[in-house]
Amino acid sequence: MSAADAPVLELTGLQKSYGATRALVDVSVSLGRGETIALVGENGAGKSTLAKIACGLVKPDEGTITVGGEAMSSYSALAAHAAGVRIVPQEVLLCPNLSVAENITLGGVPRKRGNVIDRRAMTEAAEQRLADLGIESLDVRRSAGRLSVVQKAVVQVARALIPGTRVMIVDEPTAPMSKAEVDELMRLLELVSDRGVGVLYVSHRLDEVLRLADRVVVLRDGHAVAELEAAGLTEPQLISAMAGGRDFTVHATREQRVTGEALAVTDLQGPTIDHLSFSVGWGEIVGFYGIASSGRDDLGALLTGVVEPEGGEVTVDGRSLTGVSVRNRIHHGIGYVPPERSAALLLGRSVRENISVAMLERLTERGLKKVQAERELASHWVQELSIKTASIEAPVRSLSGGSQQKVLLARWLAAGVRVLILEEPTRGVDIATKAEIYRLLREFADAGNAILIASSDIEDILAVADRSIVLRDGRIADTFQSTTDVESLRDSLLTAAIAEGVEHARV
Amino acid sequence: MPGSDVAEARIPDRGMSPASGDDEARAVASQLRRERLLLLLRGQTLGALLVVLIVVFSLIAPNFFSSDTFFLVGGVAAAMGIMAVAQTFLIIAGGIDVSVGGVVALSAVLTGVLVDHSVPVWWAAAIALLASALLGGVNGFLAIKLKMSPLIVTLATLSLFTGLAYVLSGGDTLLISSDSFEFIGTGKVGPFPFQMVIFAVVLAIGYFYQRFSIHGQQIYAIGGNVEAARLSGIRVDAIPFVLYVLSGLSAGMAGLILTAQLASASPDVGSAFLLPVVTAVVLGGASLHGGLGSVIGTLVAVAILGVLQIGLSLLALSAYVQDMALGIVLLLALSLDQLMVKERSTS
Ligand SMILES: Nc1ncnc2c1ncn2[C@@H]1O[C@H](COP(=O)(O)OP(=O)(O)OP(=O)(O)O)[C@@H](O)[C@H]1O
Ligand SMILES: [Mg+2]
Repeated sequence: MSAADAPVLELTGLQKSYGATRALVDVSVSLGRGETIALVGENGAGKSTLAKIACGLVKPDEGTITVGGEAMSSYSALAAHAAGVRIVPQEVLLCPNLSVAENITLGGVPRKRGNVIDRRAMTEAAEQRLADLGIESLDVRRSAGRLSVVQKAVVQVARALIPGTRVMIVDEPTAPMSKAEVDELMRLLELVSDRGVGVLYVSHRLDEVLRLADRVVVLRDGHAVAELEAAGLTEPQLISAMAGGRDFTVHATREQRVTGEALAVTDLQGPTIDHLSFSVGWGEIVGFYGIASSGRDDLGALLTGVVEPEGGEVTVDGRSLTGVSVRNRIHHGIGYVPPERSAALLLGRSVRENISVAMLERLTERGLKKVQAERELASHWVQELSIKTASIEAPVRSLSGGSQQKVLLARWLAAGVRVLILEEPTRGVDIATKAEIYRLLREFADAGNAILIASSDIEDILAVADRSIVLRDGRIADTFQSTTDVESLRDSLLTAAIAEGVEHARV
Repeated sequence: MPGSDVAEARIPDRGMSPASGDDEARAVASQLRRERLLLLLRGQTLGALLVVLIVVFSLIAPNFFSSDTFFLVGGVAAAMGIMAVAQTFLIIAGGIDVSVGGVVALSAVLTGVLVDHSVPVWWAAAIALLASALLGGVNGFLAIKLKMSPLIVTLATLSLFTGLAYVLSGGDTLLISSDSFEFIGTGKVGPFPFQMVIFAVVLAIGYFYQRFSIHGQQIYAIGGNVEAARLSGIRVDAIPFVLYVLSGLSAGMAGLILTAQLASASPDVGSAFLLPVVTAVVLGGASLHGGLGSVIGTLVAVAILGVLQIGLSLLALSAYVQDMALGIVLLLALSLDQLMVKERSTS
């Protein structure tokens, strides 16, 4: 075999354990020039671990890594970068103190003679790479710490597009993206692979996987359980390969009993919210849908006081929240799951502490924490939500992305809040867990509590909302009751979300 | 799919939206302007404080406003400033070195001891500088290779180095008589004290390095998010290691300057530098979390500390009252700054 035909990336016999957790067990993947391999599997299956090993961030316990036919004896992030392996990681990894342009060109700063930065060339290169992604009006001089979640994802993709790339590993880049952005990214990855780059693509969105991949590797509990040719493969086939015989269909609409007003919002005003009024009843799930600039992204932060509203009033159970601190809102029974989970989790602390943190006062007796009660509480919720973790004492950082999301949910369920405000509750969550989260939310509402969901994933809204409110330009564009005819509801939501003349936006 | 439609459809949020037009563009522009303004103001609170201090001291201390004072301030600030420039980079990269006081003492004592053993003074100085860089390397090795907390490591080595300096010297002050060597501490270039010239050179190099060099930017990246930097192929170990070495070297230089000034080497010289260096860097806008800071900010902060020191001693206040005044001014400066920049970007 000549060097040109050699696989650009060959991983052989990879083993990786974290304590008792076997993240990878004898996994081998061989990625050819211009080939795209999709890596699928449920939360905690080992996808990110494989991605991190491939780019030198994590050392495998056993196994060999070959890049471009060359065995890498001492593999590190530095060596990987030099060999042309790039990664767009699952969690946002930007330097918040640097500008967009600096972040994008971090791996190859344009220079004049010597070591002097060529700022003009840097700006141009950054703008060019964004333009390649179809993004024209993101000002590259802005500081990266102030970008929205989506913008951060775009910057990360742009950063991986530097010259000399042989392998591009993309770990769930589209979780926070809209349909149009996903389309652009797909187009871009196709372009990249046409140029001979090998792409390793991790995603929970099976439509993307089937569209992009030449081959699909299915991981389950650290084992590669199937390797399938993508041509001719269907979603149901793929799902059954991932599930290994389990069933996770989403429940049909439920009987709902709304009793009285839980959350009432009158004339709310904010940066992107324009005189918004609505209410959520006890026992009701209200879903907010809309494209990203519709105000959907800012709703949760305004309702919970994380961002100070410019006007209007929010009441919970008849009591006004005006002037109530974020901390005291917990005592009013409000829980909030923000879109960027790393913002809400204590990443370095244990699963136990992350679950109990919002209800410590109730776990305290005469100034002392009831340790045993706290442990039982944490174990209970870890079991209830089947959170995949080595133990309740493992730091949340060590959990897979989807499991982290469940920990956040567990925190509020444990705290016994009565009004739950969730943004992007299933971002980065696999299909089985999604169904579980939907079930939990329904149970929560059935018990007489109120839920508000804002999501860019229309499936979330379709699956759980009793009433769906579509936002456009910060105002309510339309409201729909849930129905058994999911397809027509989907169409109605999509149509209402998009202003006239724009056809391709889904979110 | 027609490209224009995609552009229309992609409306991720304020910053990126092309379609909703001028309003958005204006919003972004004004946001940018505000970020800039805040940054500028941050620099200027410090600058304003410096001016206020100078005016106040000129009014209440009759001899204060003169070129003599300028050179006096420059003189006392030089040794600290040299160390502060190196420390600035280290703190930006997420490290810290509080052992500089110990290195100052060792560098001074080592020179003295070597001269005592009839080593030519310039050779002794060169060896002391080399040793200082090595001590910085020890800090770097412990903090980076062994992944120990830099604060704890350098607190420990501070104690170690200082103790070593006392042991080497036997607690004595060692005389060094060499006119050419004394020039470092007491000589003048035109009207400027020579040590001020050294500081100016270090400052210029530091400024250039921070603003224009690729390493400068990489240091910010490492401090901002070390994983992001690692994934971009930046040497996240080697670069901070060099910064520790430079910090040691800068302390060695300061030790030589002080020795030359006094024409004698004493292990006591280090004690004055326990905290002021880190204080200056943080006052100058650096964050102990890394990722923020600038050489110019540090320069202004060093000047403030220098003016305070000279001004307070001209007022003939007792040392204890001077300490109190210093503490109050520092708290004032930091809280003012915090008020001005309340909405700094969260990292
Ligand atoms: N640093 C770590 N320390 C301990 N355990 C870890 C660590 N990193 C990963 N794990 C464990 O290894 C397993 C695989 O995790 P991984 O992140 O690879 O999953 P994943 O397939 O990417 O899941 P997701 O779809 O949720 O992102 C999980 O059980 C996780 O808890
Ligand atoms: Mg993952």
